Amino acid sequence: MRIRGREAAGLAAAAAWALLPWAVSDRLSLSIFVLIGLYVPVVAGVALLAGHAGQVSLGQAAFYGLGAYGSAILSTRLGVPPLLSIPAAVAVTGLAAYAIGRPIFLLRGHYLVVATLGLNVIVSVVLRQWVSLTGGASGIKDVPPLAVGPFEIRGDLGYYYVTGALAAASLVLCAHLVRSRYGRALQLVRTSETAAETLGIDPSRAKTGVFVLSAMLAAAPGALYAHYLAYVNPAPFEFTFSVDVLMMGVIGGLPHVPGALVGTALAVLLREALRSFVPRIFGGAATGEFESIAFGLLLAAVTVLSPDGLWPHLRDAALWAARGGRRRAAESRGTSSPADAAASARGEESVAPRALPARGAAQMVDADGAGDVVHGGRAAATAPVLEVEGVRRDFGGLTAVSGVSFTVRPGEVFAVIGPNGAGKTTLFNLVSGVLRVTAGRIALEGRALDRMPAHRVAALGVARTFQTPRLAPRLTARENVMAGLHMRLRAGMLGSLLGRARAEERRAREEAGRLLDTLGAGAFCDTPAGDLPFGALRLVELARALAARPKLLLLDEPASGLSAEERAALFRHVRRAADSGVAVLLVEHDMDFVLGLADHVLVLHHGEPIAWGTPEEIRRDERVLAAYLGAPAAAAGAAASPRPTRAPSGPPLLSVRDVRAGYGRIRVLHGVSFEVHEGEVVAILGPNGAGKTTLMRAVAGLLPAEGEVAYAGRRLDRLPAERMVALGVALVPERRELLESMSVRDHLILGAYARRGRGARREAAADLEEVLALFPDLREKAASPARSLSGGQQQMLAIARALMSRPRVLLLDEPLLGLAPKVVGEILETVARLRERGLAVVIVEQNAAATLRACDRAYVLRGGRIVHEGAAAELAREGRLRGLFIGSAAGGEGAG
Amino acid sequence: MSLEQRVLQLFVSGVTNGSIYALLGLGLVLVYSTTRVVNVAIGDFATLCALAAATLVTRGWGLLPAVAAGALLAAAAAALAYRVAIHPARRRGADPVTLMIITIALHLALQGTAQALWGTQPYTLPALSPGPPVHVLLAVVDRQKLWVLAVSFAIVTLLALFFNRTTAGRALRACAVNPTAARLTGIPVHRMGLAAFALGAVLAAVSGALIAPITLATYDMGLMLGLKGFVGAVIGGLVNYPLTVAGCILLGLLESFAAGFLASGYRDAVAFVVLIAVLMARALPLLRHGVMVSEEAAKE
Repeated sequence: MRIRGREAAGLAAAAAWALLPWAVSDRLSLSIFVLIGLYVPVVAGVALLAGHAGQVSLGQAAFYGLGAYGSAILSTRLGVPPLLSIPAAVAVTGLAAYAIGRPIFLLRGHYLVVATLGLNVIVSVVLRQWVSLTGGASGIKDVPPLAVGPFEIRGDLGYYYVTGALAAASLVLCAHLVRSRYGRALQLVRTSETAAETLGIDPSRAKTGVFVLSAMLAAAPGALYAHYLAYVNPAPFEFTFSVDVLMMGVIGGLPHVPGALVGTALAVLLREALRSFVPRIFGGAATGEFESIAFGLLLAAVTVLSPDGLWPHLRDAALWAARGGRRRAAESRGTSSPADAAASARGEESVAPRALPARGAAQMVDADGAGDVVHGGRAAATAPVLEVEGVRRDFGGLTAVSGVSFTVRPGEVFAVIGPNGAGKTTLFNLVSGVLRVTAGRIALEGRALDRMPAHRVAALGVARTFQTPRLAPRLTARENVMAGLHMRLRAGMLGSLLGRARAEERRAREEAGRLLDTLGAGAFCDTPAGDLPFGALRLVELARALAARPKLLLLDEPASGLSAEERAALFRHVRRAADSGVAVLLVEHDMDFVLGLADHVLVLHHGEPIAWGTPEEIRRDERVLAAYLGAPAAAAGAAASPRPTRAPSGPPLLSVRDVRAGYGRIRVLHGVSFEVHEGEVVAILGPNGAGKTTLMRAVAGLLPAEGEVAYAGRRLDRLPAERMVALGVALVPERRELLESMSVRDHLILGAYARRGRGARREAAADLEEVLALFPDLREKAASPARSLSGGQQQMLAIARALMSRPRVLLLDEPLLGLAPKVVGEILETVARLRERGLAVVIVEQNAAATLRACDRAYVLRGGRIVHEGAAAELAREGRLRGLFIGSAAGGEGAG
Repeated sequence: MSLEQRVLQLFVSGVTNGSIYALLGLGLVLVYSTTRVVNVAIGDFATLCALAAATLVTRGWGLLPAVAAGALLAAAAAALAYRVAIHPARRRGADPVTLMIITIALHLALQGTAQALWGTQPYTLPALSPGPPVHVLLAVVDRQKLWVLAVSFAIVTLLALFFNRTTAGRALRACAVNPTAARLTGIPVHRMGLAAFALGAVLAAVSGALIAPITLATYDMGLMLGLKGFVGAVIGGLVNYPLTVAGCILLGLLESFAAGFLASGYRDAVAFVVLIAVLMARALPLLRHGVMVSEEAAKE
C-alpha cells in the first residue's frame, strides 16, 4: 500500500519534471532549473558528508571547479570527447579528494573544514594565475558540447534533462548509500568513533570514502556546467559558492536525502525572486547585499530553530495532507480510519508475545544456522581465549594499571571488580584496543593484540558494550544491530551506492530481528534508538555485540541503570551467551550481579591485583573488604573512636527532600533526602554506582533535578551552580576539577569570584592568608600550575578554592579517593577544623572506615535510595556495611 | 634596490601583516577557547569598524573617537549575535559544526549589511600620524606600518596582563580550561561566552582600523582577513595565545617573501598551502604507523 503510494508519487514527480519546460516556458527561464539540476548533486554530497559522517567541507566549489576545468581542458586542449573527458575529470577530482581526505581523517576533530577551505582558496588562486593552462581570469572558451554519437546536446532544454537526470541519479545513489551497510557505519562513526571501531569499522576510511564521493558528486555537475555554457572562468568556483552549497544543504536538512533537492530549489528560487523583486522596491540593479542578508538570516534561523532543516516539516505537511485526502476517500467508502489504526495497533500487540525470550541456549548466537557454537561452555580444559600477562599502563607519571595477569576461557564469565579508581576501565580499554599498553602482553587465541587499532581487534573477534550505550540515535534498533553485523557483510561502497546487496541486506535484517527477539527486545525492532527506553538500549547494544559473533565479549557495567527485572533478564542473557561458548569479561559495580554471574573474579585496587578467585572466595576475602571500606574495616570502631555525637540542634542549614535525578533516560536517584546542620559533619556512604556523585551534582546545581533543596530556610532547587556558590553552598567535586594550567594563586583568587560588593577585595585578600595558613603546602606552591601538584595537594587546593567563596555548606565528593593514608588523615583533620568554625560539611565517600571517624552522622546510599541513617559511631560498630559493599551472601538477585 | 634592502622591506611588511593577522587570530582563539565556536565572521567585525569609522571621520569626527565608536559598534553586534543565535544553540547542546554554521550565517548577514550601507567602493581612514615614510636601517617604511607594529604589540601586552593579572581575565581563562570548575567557583560561563565574543570583535575592530589606511577598506575585506588569522591560529594549535601570535607573524612573513620573490599573484594561496602542509605534517606520521592511538576516546 505504502510502496504503491510512493511509486505513484515518484511517477507523478517524473511526469511533472518531464513536462515542466512547457509549463513554465514563458514565465521562467529554464536555465534556473538547469542550475538547480547542477547544484543538487553538489548539495547532496555535502549533506551526505555533514549529515551522515558529521564532517563539514567548505571546499565543494573547488571540486566543482576541478570537474569543470578538468573536462574543459581535456576537451579543448587534448580533443578528448566530452563523453570521456567528463568521467576522467570526475575521477581525477576523486583522487585529489582522496589525497587530502586520507591523511586529514587520521586527525580527530574537525580539521576537514580547515583543509577544504584552504584547498578552495588555493584552487581559485591557481585558476586565476596559471594562465597558460587555465586561461586566467578570462577562462577557457569554445568548450565543445556534450555529444552522444551524432547527437549534440545544446541549449537549456537539453541540459535541463541531462542535469535533471544527474540530480535524480545522485539522490537515488545517496538514498541507497544511507540505508546500506556503509550508511550504518557512517552513522556509527558519527555517534561514537570508539563504538564504530569496536564493530570493526575503520572510521578514517569510512569518512575518506564519503568525502571522495562528495567530491565526485561535485565534479560531475561541474564538468557538465563547462559543456553547458561552452565556457568556464574562475568566478563560480570561489569560496562563496562552497558556503552557498553548505547553506542549501542546511536549509533543506543535512540528515535527509530529499533535503538536498528542497534546499537547493528553495535557495535558487529565492535568489531569483530577490533579483526580480528587490530592484522594483528599492530601485537600482545591485541586489547582492539583500541576497546575502536574506540568506544569512534564513540560515541562522534554520540552524537555531530547526537544526534538521526544512524537509522534515515539508514531509510532515505532505503526509498530513495525504492522510487527510485518504481519510476523505475512506469516509466516502464508508470505512473510518480510526478503526484502521486500531487494527494496526492490535497487529503490533500480537507481535509482542512472539518477541519474548526464546528458551534454549544455542539460539542465542546461532542465529542463521551457520555458527560454530560450542555447547555447554565452562569446559576448563579448552585453551584460553584471552591471555593478559603483566600488563601495565601509565598516564604521564601516573600508573593506572600494573602487574595484571589473567586468562579467560571460552564459556567463562570473568569479572573485574574494585573500588573507584582501581583501573577497571583502563584495563577494559586496553583489552579492546582503545588504549595501548605501556608494558606487558595481551593476546587473543595466541595472537598479540596490544599493538593493534581497535577495529582490527574487533575483527579478531572481540566485541564490547559501553557504560552508557552508544547506539546511533537515528537508526532503528534493528539497524543498530545490523551495524553489529558489519564485519560479516560484504557490500562495499559501490555495491551500497547501487543498492546491489539486496539479498545480503535481507538476511541481515532477519538475523538482527531474530537476535532482538531472543533478547526480548523484538518489539523495539523498528523504533529509532533515540526513542528507546534505557533498559532497551542496553539490550540492543548487547544484541549488537553478539551480532558480530565474538569470541570474547566485553561488558562494561551492563547492569547499571537497570531495574531488578531487567537485571535478571540481562543475567540470563549473559549466562546463555557464555554457555554457547563466548568468553565474557565483565566490569560491574553491582556485587550481587557480579558474584552471582561470574565464574572467576579479579579484584583491582590502585591499579594492582589484590585478589583472584571464585565469587565465594572473594566474598570471604578480608583484603577485598578493606579495599572497599578503607583500611582496617573490622577494627574501625575501636582504633580511632568517633567523637561523641552532638545531637543536632535547631533547624538544618541544608535540607534535601526527595531529590530525583539522572542522565538522559537513566534514572540514578529515586527520591533521596538528607540534611545537615551548622557545625555538623555528615557522611553519605555507598558503593560505586550508588548515585553519590549524581546526588552532589544535583544538589550543587550542576545537574537538573526534581525535588526540594532548602538552604537557610530558602528554596534553592533549580538554581544553577554559579548562583549556589554565591549563596554559600560550595561543592568540591569528584576528581577535583582543577584548572590544570592555572596557578594555585589563580585558583584561590577565582574562588572568591562569586563575592562582590564593597570591601570584597580586602576580605578576599584576608581570606587568602587564612586559607594558606590552613594549607601551608599551598603557600609554597602558590605560583605553580595545578597539574604540578601531588594528589593530596590537589585535593587541598580544591577544598581551599571552595573555602574562598566563604561557604556555609561544603559538599565534598570523594575527597579521599586515591590518597595515601597519611594524606587521608590530614584532609579529615582539616574537615574537623572546618566543623569547629561552624561549617556544615557533607562528605560523600566510599572509604567508610576513615570517613566514619570524622563525621557525626551518616547516611547509606544504595541504588539511588537512602537505605540507612544513623549516628556515625553506631554505624561503625555494626557490621552492616560489609554486606553493603561485598553483596549479600545469599548469591545474586539475578540468579533466578 | 639592493637585495638586502629588498629583504628588509619584505620583512617589515611581512611582520606588519602578521601583526594584523595576529589581532584577528587572538580574537579567534579567545572565542574558540571560551566557547568552542570557530567564529568565521570575525573579519567582518574588522570591516564594520573600519567602514563605520571612515563614515564618522568624513562627518568631522576625530580619528580616535571614530575608531572607538566603530569598535563599540562591532562589540555590540557581536554580543547581539551571541545572545540571539549562539547562546540558544549552545543551550541546546549544539555541536561545534552547527555553531560554526551559525557564524557563517552571521558572516553573510554582516557582509550583506556592510554592502547595503556602504556599497562596493573602497573607503580610507586617515593614518595615525601623517607624513612621509621613515627610514629604518636600509628600509623605507610607511609610518602607519610602524603604528600597526606598535599598537599590536601594545594590545598583545595588555591582553597578556589582562589574562594573568585581573580576575575577569582569569575567569575567562577558567571557562576555557574547565567550564565545570569555572561554574563551581561562581563564574557564569555563558555570560563569559558573550564577553569573549564582544572582546574578540573589539580585537578584530582594531585590526580593521589599523589596516584601512594601508589597503583601503571594502565591504568584503573581512573574510580573507579572518581566514588568515584563522590559519595563523591553527598553526599555533588554536588554543595557545603566544603560539598564535608567532603563527600569524610567520604567516605574514611567508606571504610577504613568497609574493616578493615568487609570483605576487599567488600571495593569497601561500597561507593555505602552509595550512595544509601543517595539517599533513601532523597527520602523516599517524598514517605511517598505521595506528591511531585514541587517547581521547578513552575519555569520551
